[in-house]
Order: sequence, then C-alpha cells, then structure tokens
Amino acid sequence: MWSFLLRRILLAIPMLLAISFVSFAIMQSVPGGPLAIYRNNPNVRAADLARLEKQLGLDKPMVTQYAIWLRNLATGNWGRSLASGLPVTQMISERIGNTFYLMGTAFILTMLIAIPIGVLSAVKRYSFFDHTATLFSFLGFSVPIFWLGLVAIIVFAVWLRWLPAGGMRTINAEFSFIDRLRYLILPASLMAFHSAAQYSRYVRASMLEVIRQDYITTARAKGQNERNVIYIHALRNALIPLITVVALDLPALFSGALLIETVFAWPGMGRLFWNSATRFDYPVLMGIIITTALLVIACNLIADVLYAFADPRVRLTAGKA
Amino acid sequence: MKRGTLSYSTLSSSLEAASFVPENSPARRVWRRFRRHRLAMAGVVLASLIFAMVIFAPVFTPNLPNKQDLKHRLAAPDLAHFMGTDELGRDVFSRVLFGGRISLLIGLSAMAVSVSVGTLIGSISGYFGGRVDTAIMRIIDIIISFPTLFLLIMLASFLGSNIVIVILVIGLLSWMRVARLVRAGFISIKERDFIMAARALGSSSSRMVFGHLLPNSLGPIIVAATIDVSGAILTESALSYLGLGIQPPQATWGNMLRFAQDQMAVAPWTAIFPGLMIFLVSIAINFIGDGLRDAFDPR
Amino acid sequence: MKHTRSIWLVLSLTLAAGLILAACGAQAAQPPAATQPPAATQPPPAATEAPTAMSMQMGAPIVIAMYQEPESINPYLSVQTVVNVLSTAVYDGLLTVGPDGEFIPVLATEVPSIANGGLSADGLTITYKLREGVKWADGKPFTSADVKFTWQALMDNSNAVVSRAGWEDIDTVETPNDLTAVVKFKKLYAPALTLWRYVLPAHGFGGGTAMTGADFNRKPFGTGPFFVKEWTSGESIVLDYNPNANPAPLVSGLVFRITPSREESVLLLKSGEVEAVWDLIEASIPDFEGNADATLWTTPSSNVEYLGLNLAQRGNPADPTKPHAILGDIKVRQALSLAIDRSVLVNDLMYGKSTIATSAIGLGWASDPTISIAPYDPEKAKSLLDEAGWKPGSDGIRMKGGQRLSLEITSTSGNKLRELAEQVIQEQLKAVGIELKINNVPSSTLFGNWASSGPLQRGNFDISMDTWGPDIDPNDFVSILFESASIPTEAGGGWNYFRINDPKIDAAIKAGRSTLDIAARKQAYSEVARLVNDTYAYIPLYNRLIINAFTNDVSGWTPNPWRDFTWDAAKWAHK
Repeated sequence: MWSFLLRRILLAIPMLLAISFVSFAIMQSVPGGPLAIYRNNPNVRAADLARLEKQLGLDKPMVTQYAIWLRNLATGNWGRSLASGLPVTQMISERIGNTFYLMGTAFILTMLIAIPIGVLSAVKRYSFFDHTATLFSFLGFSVPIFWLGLVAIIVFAVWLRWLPAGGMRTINAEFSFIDRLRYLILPASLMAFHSAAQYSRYVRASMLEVIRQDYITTARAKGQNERNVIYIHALRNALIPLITVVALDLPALFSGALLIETVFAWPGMGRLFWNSATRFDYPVLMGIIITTALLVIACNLIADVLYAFADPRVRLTAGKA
Repeated sequence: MKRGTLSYSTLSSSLEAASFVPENSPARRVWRRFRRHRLAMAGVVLASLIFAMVIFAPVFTPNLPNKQDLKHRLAAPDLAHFMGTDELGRDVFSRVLFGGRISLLIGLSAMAVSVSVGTLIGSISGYFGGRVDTAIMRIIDIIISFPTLFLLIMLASFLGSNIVIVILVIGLLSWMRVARLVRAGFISIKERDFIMAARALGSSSSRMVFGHLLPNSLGPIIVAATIDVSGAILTESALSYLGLGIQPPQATWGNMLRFAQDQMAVAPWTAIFPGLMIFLVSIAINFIGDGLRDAFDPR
Repeated sequence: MKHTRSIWLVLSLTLAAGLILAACGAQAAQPPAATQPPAATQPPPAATEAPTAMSMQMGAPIVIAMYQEPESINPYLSVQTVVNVLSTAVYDGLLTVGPDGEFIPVLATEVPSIANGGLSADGLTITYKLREGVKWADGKPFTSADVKFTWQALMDNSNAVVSRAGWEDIDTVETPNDLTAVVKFKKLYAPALTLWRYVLPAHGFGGGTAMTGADFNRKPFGTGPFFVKEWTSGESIVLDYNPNANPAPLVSGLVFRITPSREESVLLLKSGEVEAVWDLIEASIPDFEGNADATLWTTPSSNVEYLGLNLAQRGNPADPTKPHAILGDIKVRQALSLAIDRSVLVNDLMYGKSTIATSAIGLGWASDPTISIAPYDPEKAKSLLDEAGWKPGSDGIRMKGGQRLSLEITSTSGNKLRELAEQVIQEQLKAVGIELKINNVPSSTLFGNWASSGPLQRGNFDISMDTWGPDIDPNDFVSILFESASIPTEAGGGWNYFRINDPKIDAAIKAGRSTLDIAARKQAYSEVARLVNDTYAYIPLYNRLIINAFTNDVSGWTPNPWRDFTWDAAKWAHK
C-alpha cells in the first residue's frame, strides 16, 4: 500500500514535467502571442514592442523561458501575469473558491438527482418512469448548456424577474444567505440537470448489473425486505464503480466550467482560463494547467485507493493503470 | 472546460463497467434483438428521416441557404419561410437542412477518427499488457490532464479552422475514452476460456485480435461510437460559441446557435430550430446506441 | 411516512451544504488582507467614512455592465479600452478633449498656446500653469511634482509601459514652483498636448517610480470624481466618490459589473440589474427598438471599418518587391471598391445609424469633408476587371491565364457585425465575378508579431477587414499605418501591412508632423487621406459607431468620440 502510494507520487513528477513542458511548447509555437493585443493603438510603435518583449522576458528562446519558469516554480514562485502584473497564485486563489462553491453545490445536487433516478429506472426498467427519465436525460445532454442557460435567463430573469441573470451576489450589499442562494439557483441547477442526465444513465447501467448478481438473489431468498435489498446491498455495490467516474470528472469540475460561467457571468476559474488563453498570458495559463494536472493526478490516485478499500478484490500494485 | 459539458464522457465511462460477455451468436440474433427494441427502432426511423432531409435538402426546400434578403431580416416564421429568416434575411429552414450536412459530417467523421485511433491504441494496450499497457495508460493520463479547452484553442489558432481540422481536432481529443473501453474489454475477455483455448491451439496474434478479441468487444465500441456522434456535433457548437468553428457563410447547427444567442429575445426562431435539430439527432443516435448495447448484451 | 421524512432530511442537508459553501464563497470573495495598499496610499477616513449629510444628498451608485475585465487601472501599462474607461473616472489629465475636438483645461488653468505664452515659438517648450487648491482623493495636495513624476515613471525602465511615443522626446520637466511645470522637448513632437492625459500621484507608488505589479494599479485614486474602493476579480469593481473632487460627483459611486460578453450585459440591463451598458455593437440595435425603459445611444467615432489589401506578393513572409498576384493590379483593387454597395451595409446592416466612410481620417480637425470615394458602380467594376484581363469563367468567377479571381478575407473571429458584413460583401463581389473566401482567426493570431508568424505582419493574407481610427492628433495613426518606414519587417516596422510605399504619402506625413501651424497640418493630413484613397489598398467602408445603453433613470452623459465613456462621469445622476 505505502510503496504503491510512494511510486505513484514519484511517477507524478515526470508526468507534471512532461505536461508543463508540452504546454509551454504548444503555447509558444502558436501564432500570435501576448503582445498582439498592443496592435490596436497607434502609439505603440515597433520600438515600444521591442522594449516590452525584453522587459517581459519574451525575447529569450523558448527553452530558456521554460527553464526560468521551472526554476521559479521550484522556489514556490509561480510568476506574475504578463497582463496585470499580479502574482499568478493570487489570481488563481481569487477565483478557485468561487468555482468550488458553484461546482460543489452543483455536484451535490447532481448526486441527489442522479442516484435516485438511476436506481428507480433500473428497478422499474422499461416502465413509464424509466422512459420519462430516459427522455429527460437525453434532453439534458443533447441540448447545449449555453443554449439552455440563455433560455433560463430570458424566462426567469428577464420575463419573470424572479432570479438574477448573472453574478454571484448583490454587489455593495451585506452578506446574506438568501441573496447568495438566489444567485446560485440557476447556474447550479442547470449544471446539475446537465450532469445528472449523464450520471443517472450510469447509475442505471451499473444497478442493472448488480441486481442480477448472485448475492442479491441470495439476499432476496433469505427473505430480506426488498427495500433493504435494493438500497443497502445493491446500491452500495453499484456505487463502487461510480468512484472512478467521479474521480475522472472532479478535476474538470473544479478547473471550472467555462460555458456555464460565461452564460451566468460567474467569476470562476473557467473564465480566468479563457481570458488568459485569448490573451496568451503564459504564466497564468501555466499556473492553471499545473493546478488542473495536480488535481487529475490526485483524484486518480484517491480513486484507486478508495476503490481498493471499497472492493477487497482489487489489489493495489504499482503497475495497475 | 469541464469535460462533462461536452456531454459524453461520463456516459461512456459507464460502458467500462458494462459486462463483456463472450457472444459467439450470429449477427442475426443481435439484429433480431435490436429490431424488437422499440426505442431503438424509433431512433432508426428518426435518424433516417433527418439524414434523408439533409442529404436531399434541395428537394425539401426551394430556398438557397446563403441567399440573402436584407429587406426581410429576422422575419418571423410564415408560409414562405416556415422557420423564419436570420439576420441577413436568409431562410432558416434551408440553413438548418444544408447546415445539417456539415454538422452530421463532422459528427460521423470525428466519431470515425476517435473510434479508429481509440480502437488501435486500446487494442495494443489491452493485447500486450504489461509495460506497453502501463506506458500507454500513463500517456493517456497526461493527455487528459490538459484542459480540453486549452488544446482546442491552441490547436484551432495553430491550424486555422476548416472542416477537416475541426473533425481532426474533435476526433483526436476524444479517442482516449474508446481506447480505455477497448482495453478494458480485451483484458476481461483475454482470460476467458475460449481465448485460452484458441491460444493453446496456436492461433496467431492477428487471428487472435481480429478473430476473437475485437469481435467480442464490438458491443461497447459501437455504443461509444454512437455517443461520439452527438458529442462531436455538440463540441462543434461549443467551438462555434468560442468563435473557432466552421467559417461563414457555411451554416452549421453550432454556428447558427452562436449567431442566434444575442437575438433570442427578438427572434427566438433563429435559436430554437437548430437547437431542436441537435436534440433530435442526439436522441435518435442515443436510442440506437441503447438498442445496440441491449442487443449485444441481452441480460 | 419514513420516506417523506428522509426526503426532507435530504433537502435540508442540501440546503445546509449550499449555505456552508455560500459562506466559503463569501470568504473567498473578500480581498485578502495582504493585498491592501500600504497606509500611505489608503484614502483617509474622510473618504471612506462619507459624511452622512452629504451622502444623503448624493444619488445611489450607478451600476454599469462592461464585457471585459481591465488588466489593471493604470492607463500607461495597458492598451485595453476598458482600462481607460476606469482610469478616466479616477484620474484627471492636464487637459482633456471635448466632443468637438477642442482641448479643455482640467488640472491646468489654460490650454498652452503661443498667444498665452504657454508654448514657445519653436514648439519645444510647454509651460503648464496648474490649478490651485486641487487635492488627491487622500487629501494630499496636487503639485507640479506629480506632473514630473508621471513622466519619470513612464521612463523608468523597470516599468512595462506600453507606449513612450512623445514621452521619450522630452528632455526635462522643470518644476520652478508647485503650480508650474515646464516641459522641454529634445525635438518637436506635434501631438505634445495629448500627453499627460492622466496625471498619477507621486506618493501613490511608495515613494519610487516602479509601477509594474504595484498594488496601486488595482486600487488607485486620483484627482478625478471617483476612486477604486474594491475590486473583486471577475465580478465587479466598486468606485466610491472622491470627497475632494471639484466638481463633486452627483452620485456616491460607480459599480462596474464585469460580464463575459456584451450579450450577457444586455440581459443584465433587461433584467434590471444594471443601469448602463458600455460599448455595444450594431447587432444590438433591434434588441432596443421598442424598449421603453432604456435608450441606445449611437455616436459617430473616428474609427473607420476598412478593407486592407495586400500590395506585396503574398507569402510567409511576403515579398514587398514583387506585386501581389491579383491585388498588385490597381484596376482590380479599384473594381473591388466599386463593387461594394456600402449603402446596404449602412442602411440595412446598421439600421441606418452609421454613415459611409470616405477617408481614413473621418472625424476631428484633421478630417477633410471634401474627400469622397467613387460611388457603387458594379458595371464600371466589371469593365475594369475586363480591362485587367479577368474574364468570366464557367461558374461566373473570373479567370485569367488559368487563375481564378479568388481572394481570401481574414479578420478577427467572434465579431458578429464584421462577420455579417463580410458575408454581404462576399455576395456583392460575387456579382461582379470575384470570389471571396472568409477565413477569420482569433485576434491574438491576426495581430501576432513577426516572430510568431502574425499573418498581417508577415504579409500572409490577401484582404483583411479591420477597424482603426486616429486620435485627436492623427500623426501617430497615419505614421504607423501608411508611412513606408512602417512596413513590417523582421527587424521591426509598424502596421503598414498593406505595404504601401509611396514617397508622396511619406512626404505629406512628414510635413504634418514638422510644424505646429494648424492650417499647414490640416492641409498635410488632407493630402495624406487623399493619397491613401488613391492607392486602393485601404478601402474605407463605413464609420463605426460608439454605442452605449442607459436606462432612462440615468441622466447627464454626453457622448464624446475623443474620450472614454466615463469622461464626464462627475455629471452623471439619477433622475
């Protein structure tokens, strides 16, 4: 167990190096660059651009720039944004909490919707309920989320004026739970509807698997209450593989969902990433990519460990993928 | 971007858990079961209808998709334009039909790219196992560590955006799931008796792969493929939303939606119809996928 | 029964979890203590603890939506328009420019001129007399030292200042007393009065001149009507009124809401969450027709939407010594201009709110209204193309020696109006037998520099569609766009990506910048604009509009094409 953990953590270092180097190389080889934005101003002359290139260290070869970035990172210095001059760590920490707040709520809601629907769909397979749930889940993942979001804003914010169209709080007002909740309802529930559509299909599939297995039949045969059989024995086993899926999706969740953040003007990581990407703000982009990669690696590792705890048949060996 | 917003990652992950029962039964039995699946047959009918209308678009609409009429901008649906007109006075119905050619082409081709790359790499990983497998799986980990959005932006600004590039970009960013599915299938089947028997009888590697392993993993591959089609159509719409999709004046359902977003309140028809088409295609294809899964795995 | 109870349990758990997360979010939204500016830069209690009597007379803050987040609020470190919008509300300049293009003294008492002794006859010395009794928002007096500091900070090599045009021509800034600043130039800089558009406080940067990365850039104060109270990343920037401002603002603050797009800004206006939307595009016009609660203000700007044609042989990089295979022939370029029906663009696409552009300098003292362009004439365009040897092919597209008359138009992706205009032009050119293919790329790619293969810099394009316009003094604009020295090369150059190389244009631009005599300058720029039109490498299409929306509750704003949205924010009020 410990040697497994140690080996996986050691393996993460070359992976992070590879990820960071490849990202850096891709960014630098793409046409354009951080100075392109200065074009829209007749006052910025060639001499100014040459000076800026030097001041921002962009005149050095790519490998040198990467080496400098890596050396700084090793000393805990994530660099400063080329655009705002702010420390990258500050920029990320200002946003990551907001993303956590929206995605965390959406995630809990997702689970609360997806698991019961998935279980019921499986237990009452091909029933009216199952077909309705199927239809809604297809609706959930075949309609683009930005489209759904815009419709929701027009209906609930513009026509009915029940809920705000965007943002996460009333600015310049005292903190209030009700206020926070009003801003949270639309983005979180749409996000939840969208992901629950997928998770419920997943729960349904693995529930169908489990129900037919021997020990469930045995439990039934032993005269156990049907509800106990379904919700205790079957569900617990059906949820084991869910861990893997959740682990794969969680990092993406917390690096921000650009589309939902864009539609609802949510100040999260996704928009920070998009702004930095269109602006070619290398240090900020690198910071976000490294954060995401760390989350991916950590979540995969945690999933493997949890999986081993939940299912004694799985043994942890370093070679396991 | 959250991968989930592109809609298919989670669903297809579920297929990894789907079982891989050796099915030596003839294709006919699968087909019989598929035909009895009512939802799947509804999906087939719906999909054929959409494909027919899109392929024979000129038969169904008298209007050209790029014909502008600036005197009739954003006109509401009527008899002449029964889905209304867009901001350049073009017929939305014609654009939906002709745009569907591109959207469906992207969906099907991107799926072909992702399925073939994924199947190849997944087979290698699953068949050889050991170090090869570990290396491939770690490389997949690295690739999925990059935010999808980052790769999309970078590739799109690097390569420009024409239809081939959009197809390749979408296809090459989604093969990892298929690879995992195929690998999982191979690993679970490899230890079964009939494979052991074939190996003991001295079957060659290629015979093993093409004769036994692949046919028995076909179920999940087909299901993943059907999901990839709608996924790719949606990804193109997300690309369009970010301003990186197919160039105007060529309509796609994705870029029609993008152009419609700021006039949804004044001209909702410009947004509703392309959105509806994406929904119908996804639902048809997913029904077919469901039917295929049940047909291959009847339990 | 048990079932119902468990549903309630689940519901209350969700609610509780949501609230806990909400509380976490609330904490995250608070600015960390470490980023608070040092005491010296903090406005004194007088500013933050507003006198109740006064704030009761003042209106509530005005809430404005803007679709971009400023990089900082230091106008010298960024070229983003939104940075200038915020900076204009916070800082004053020595002079400003009014709607009709006239200079208006702000921190100076008068506009320096030869008549009032503020300007030396050779134009090399400018003496600014400063207004008495002006205080910064933190209560410290404004003096000539601040004027000098602004120049010094711009010249500090550790600062990533975006432009030093004009500033680097200054020899010294002398401060004989607190209310006099004497600026001495090494050589004549004709637009000298446009410098010091913003005066920064010398005590704002902890005593030194280092600006890059300074906390002050995020929470600045100036002598303007407002100062920045709070900036929540990605969400909002809250400005409080400056108690020392003269004239005092009529509202107690401005709240800028940062939105991801113009569409979202408009939705916020419609849902009643904001009262003004900054910088809309023409596509929003139908959205506001019949909206009784809000008004869309359209004002002409100096920006002209134009087609930029590549005169050099296309390549990566282009060869400026060889003409473009198709566009090298002036008859083709002329035909292109004649084949475009600009009235369709202006009347239909822009709902009649815009006007046809006739010159690169369309507004201000330097613009010449007598300049015109040949009107739409597709027949003449066809005969010009015939003359040039391009004959209609089987599919209607013209051919010459086996080559199709097919050109690529490239612009920035994601600009809806421009993408629509491209499609209209595409149809119009098709009618005379020219095929136009659209290939739009992200703006950071289009405007990329030489080293990163930017297509405009390298000359790897046929036609680009873009918008650009001069400042109140057109010198910098015409120099960087049309002078032969500005043809991009690996070593530098400017934005003459048309690769116009015309000695007459060069001479006229030089004449314009080597004198302060306004009549002579007017004539020079008129000459430049005419000659540029004659190249047919720069094809003006239409004048861009400045479009802002206000709800009908807000009053006091006057459009000004020369200064940013907030230039008269002190006069904004609620009705």
